[in-house]
Amino acid sequence: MSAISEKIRVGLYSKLNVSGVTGSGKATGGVHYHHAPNDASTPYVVFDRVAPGTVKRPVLGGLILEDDLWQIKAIVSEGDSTSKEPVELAQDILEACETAINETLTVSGNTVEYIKRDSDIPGFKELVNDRWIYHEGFNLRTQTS
Amino acid sequence: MGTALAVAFPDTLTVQTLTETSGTGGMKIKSSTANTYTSVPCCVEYIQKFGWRKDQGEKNLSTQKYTVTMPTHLNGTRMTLNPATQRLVVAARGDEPAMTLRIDTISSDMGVVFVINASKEN
Repeated sequence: MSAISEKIRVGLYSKLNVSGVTGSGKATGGVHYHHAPNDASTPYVVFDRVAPGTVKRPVLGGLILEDDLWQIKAIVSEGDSTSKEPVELAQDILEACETAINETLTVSGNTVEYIKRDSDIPGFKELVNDRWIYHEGFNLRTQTS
Repeated sequence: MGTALAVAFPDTLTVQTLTETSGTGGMKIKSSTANTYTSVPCCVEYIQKFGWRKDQGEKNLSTQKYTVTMPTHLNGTRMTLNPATQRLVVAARGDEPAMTLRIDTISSDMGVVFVINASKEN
């Protein structure tokens, strides 16, 4: 495990775990890494490190750039909102996530040179007992020196 | 008759219906919940060995299956059940708390009783 990725993971959680993301009408089930706890109720945000990239180093020691790809997903169940379609709610949550990150991240001992939404993931759904659960999300590229 | 009913159907439940409206992007919005049938006598039994834990919706979800048996008629009127939009809320009895059951399938036995397979999430 790269120490830089751990710093970014903690930094991302700190940026995402704010009222703009978890407040009323958004991801009230919280923000979670890897998976939500068993007692979490939708809607919630799950983020993950999905594609660690190349670590560029100079010939003699040090670090030039560490590339990483993170995935931020909104998990929404049908019936979570009485005024929005489930996917609409999920996209609103993702927009709030992007706003919260605001293309900046500060970590101690390193500099996050680049942090932007890289691409969206294809939304998918799964049937859980009597209802559909929708997964919508985007990939976030980070480059840290 | 009242005593016989109480023996066969010791519990009562409420059939809740979720109202759906059409959104502007091709999906449905579940906008409200109404109690369609109340105080329905029933018998709720868990199905042995039909319970599991699975990763669903990015979390580990525990599901236990139940069989609910209830009359097809309430106060002389046949009830209409729909697994797509309805849930069963079994009333508390004694120390046993109320529980919400999600309908999987509904069968009608000889037009006298509904036999419903349902799920309880934990």
